[in-house]
Amino acid sequence: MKMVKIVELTKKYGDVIAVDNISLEIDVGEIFGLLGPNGAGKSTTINMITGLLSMDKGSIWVMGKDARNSTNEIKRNIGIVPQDVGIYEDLTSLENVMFFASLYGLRGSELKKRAIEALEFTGLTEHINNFPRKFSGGMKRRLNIACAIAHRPKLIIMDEPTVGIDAQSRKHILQSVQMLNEMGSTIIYTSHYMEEVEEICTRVAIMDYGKIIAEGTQKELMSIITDQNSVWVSISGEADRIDKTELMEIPGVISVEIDDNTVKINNSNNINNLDRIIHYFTEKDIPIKNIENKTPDLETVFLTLTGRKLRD
Amino acid sequence: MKNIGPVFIKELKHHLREKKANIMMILFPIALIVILGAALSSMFNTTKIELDGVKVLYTNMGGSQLEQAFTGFIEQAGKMGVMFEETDDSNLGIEMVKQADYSCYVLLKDNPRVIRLYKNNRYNFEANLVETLLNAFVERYNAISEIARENPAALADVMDETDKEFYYIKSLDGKRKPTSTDYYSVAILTMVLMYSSIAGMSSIRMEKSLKTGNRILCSPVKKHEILIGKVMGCIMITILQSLMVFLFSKLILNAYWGDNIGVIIAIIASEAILTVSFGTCIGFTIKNEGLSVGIINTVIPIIVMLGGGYVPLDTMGEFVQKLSVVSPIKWTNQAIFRLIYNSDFSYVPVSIAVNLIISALLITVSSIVYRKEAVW
Ligand SMILES: Nc1ncnc2c1ncn2[C@@H]1O[C@H](COP(=O)(O)OP(=O)(O)O)[C@@H](O)[C@H]1O
Ligand SMILES: [Mg+2]
Repeated sequence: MKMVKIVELTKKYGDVIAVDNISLEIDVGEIFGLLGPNGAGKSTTINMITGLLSMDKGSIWVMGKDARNSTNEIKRNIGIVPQDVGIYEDLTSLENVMFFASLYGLRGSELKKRAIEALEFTGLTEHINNFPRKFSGGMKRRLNIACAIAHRPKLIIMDEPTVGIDAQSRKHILQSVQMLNEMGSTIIYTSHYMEEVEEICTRVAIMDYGKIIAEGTQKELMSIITDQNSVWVSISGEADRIDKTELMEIPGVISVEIDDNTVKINNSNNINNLDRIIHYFTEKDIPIKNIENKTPDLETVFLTLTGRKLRD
Repeated sequence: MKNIGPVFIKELKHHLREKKANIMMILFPIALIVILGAALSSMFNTTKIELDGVKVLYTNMGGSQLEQAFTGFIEQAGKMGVMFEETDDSNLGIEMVKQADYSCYVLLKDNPRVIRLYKNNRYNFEANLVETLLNAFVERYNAISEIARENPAALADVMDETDKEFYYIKSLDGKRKPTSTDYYSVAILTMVLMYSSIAGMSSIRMEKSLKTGNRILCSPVKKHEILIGKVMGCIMITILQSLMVFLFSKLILNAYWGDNIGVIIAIIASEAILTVSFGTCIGFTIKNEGLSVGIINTVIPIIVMLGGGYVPLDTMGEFVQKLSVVSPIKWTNQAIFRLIYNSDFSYVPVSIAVNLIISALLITVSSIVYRKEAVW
C-alpha cells in the first residue's frame, strides 16, 4: 500500500493552471521532497491532499482510501504543518498544542503528556507556558510543527517549514524531521531550498509551473545530468567585465551563471575545455583565485531542466 | 458533538484574555448609565405633571354593585390626577384610544363580570399606570365582595382600611415610574449588548487571519462542532458581561429591576444569542473587515434607536413608533419594561421568540457559507 497516491491531478485558478495533471506515489516510510520555486504549485498540491482545496480533475488516495470519500479516517492520520504559521498568540505554547491535538480526539492526561512531548521534541520545553507573541520567527515555526505532531500522525505534511528563520532553528527542524521519520512517520516535505531537500529527503519530485518535471532518488536525478560537470571559477572582483555570451561561445559550455565573485559554468563532459575557460580569464586580465570542479546538485538539475535557477 | 468542548473552552480563553475589550464592554455601559441617568433625570421626573394629563374613557355595562365600587375608584384616581370620562359607545372608546386622544379605555361588563382595559399599542407609561391602579382595584374589589358575602358586618372596616391602603400602599406601586437611571439601566444594557456582535465577528475573522482556521479544517472535527463551540463561547462571555453590568446597576446604582429577575435574565440571554449570531453571520459572509465593522456600526444604532435605546419611544414621532416593530430591541426593551413596571409577562415569549428566530436564521446562513469553505 502506498501512503499517498496522486493520479492525474489538476487544479486551475481561472487561467492559471496551478497543478497540471500530476501523478505521484509516496511510499510508507519515505521523506518525500517536493522541490520547486515559488508558485510551482506545491502548496496547491498539499492543500488538495489535506482537503482544503477541491480537485478539478484526478484523484488522491491516502493509505489506500479515496480522499473524496473517507474524509475523517484520512484526516485523523495526517499532521499538517502549514506554510503560513497557524498558531494563537494569546494561548501559551502548551495550550496551542493541546488545543490542536484535542481536535484529533486526545483528552485528559494523555493529551497533556503528548503535548509536552511534542514541545520537547521541537525544543520549546523552556517556553511551554509562554505566549508565542514574544517568540522569534524560528520559535513560531517550531511551535507550528509541535501543533502538527502531538497526535502522532502516520503522515506528516510540511509545507515550507523553514521559511525565513535562523540557521540554528533550521538545523533543529531538519533534525526533527529525520527523527519523526525514524519514529515511523512518512513525511512529505516541500521546499524551494535545494540544500534542505538534498540533506534529508529519500526521494524528490521537482515541480515547475504546476508540472512534475523530474522525480526519483537524488542519485536518479543526478543521473539525468551525468554527462555534465560544473566548473566554478572564483575571482576577486570585476565580475561585471565578464560577458556570459562570450563564455557560452566556448565549445562544451552549456550555461553560465555569475554569483557574486563566482562564475559557475556548466560543461558537457565530452569536451575538454578547461584550458579555454582559463584562457578567457587570463586574456581579460581577470585574476583567478580558485577553480573547483563541482559535481552536479539538484540546483543544476533544475537549471538544466528549466534553464532557470530555483531561487531568483 | 464531542469536539464542541475544546473549541468552547478555547473560545472562552480568547475572550477572557482580551482585557481591553472586556473592560470596554463592562465599564462603558456602566459609565453611560451613570452619565445619562444623571444628565437626563429631568426628562423622567415629570410624574406629577404627566399624571395631571392622564385621561381615561370608560363605559359601564357592569352591574350596580360594580358600578358603585368603580365610582369610588374614579374619585380616588381623580385625586391623583387621572380624569375619567364616560361614554356609552364602546367602539368610539376604542377608536379614541387608537387615535391617542385618551390614554386608555376601560370597559366594565357584567356576567361574566370583567373589567377590560384597552390601550394604545405603543409604549405608554400613562396607560401602564392606569392598568396598575385598575389591577389594585380589582384585587381589592374581589376581596371585598368575598368578605361581604361572608360577614356583612366586617365590610365597613375593610372599606375604611381600603381607603388608606388603596392610597398609600397600592398607589405607591401604581405611581412607580422609571427614574432616568432605571430607564437607562435597561436601555443601555440592551444597547451595549448589541455591540457584542463585534466579538462574534472577530471570533470568526480571527481564525482566518491567523490561518488557524485552515488548520482546524484539516483536522477531523466537524464544521458544526466548531461553529457551535465558538458561538456558544461568545454567547457565554456576552452573558457574563451583561450580568456584571446588571449587578452593578442593581446593587451600586440601585436601579429598579422589578421582581422577575430570572425572566429578565432569560430575555437578556436571548438577546446575547441574537447579537453573537449577527456578528458570526457578518464574519462569515462579509470578507472585507472594514465593511464588516461598517455594517455592524450602521445597523446597530438604527435598531437600538427604534428600540427606544437612546430616548423612550413614546417621546418620538408616530412614524418611528410604527417602524419600531422591525427592531428586535424594541421587543426586548418592551418585554423588560412591562415585566418590571407591570409584572406583565405577555411580551416575554414574543421578545424571546423574535431574538431566537432571527438568531436561527443568521446561524443557518453562517453554516451554509462555512460548509462551502473547504471541500471535505
Ligand atoms: N487562491 C489562489 N487564487 C489564484 N491563484 C492562486 C491561488 N493560490 C495559488 N495561486 C496560484 O497558483 C500557483 C501555484 O501556487 P502555490 O501552490 O502556492 O505555489 P508554491 O506553494 O509552490 O509556491 C501560483 O501561480 C499562484 O499564483
Ligand atoms: Mg507554497
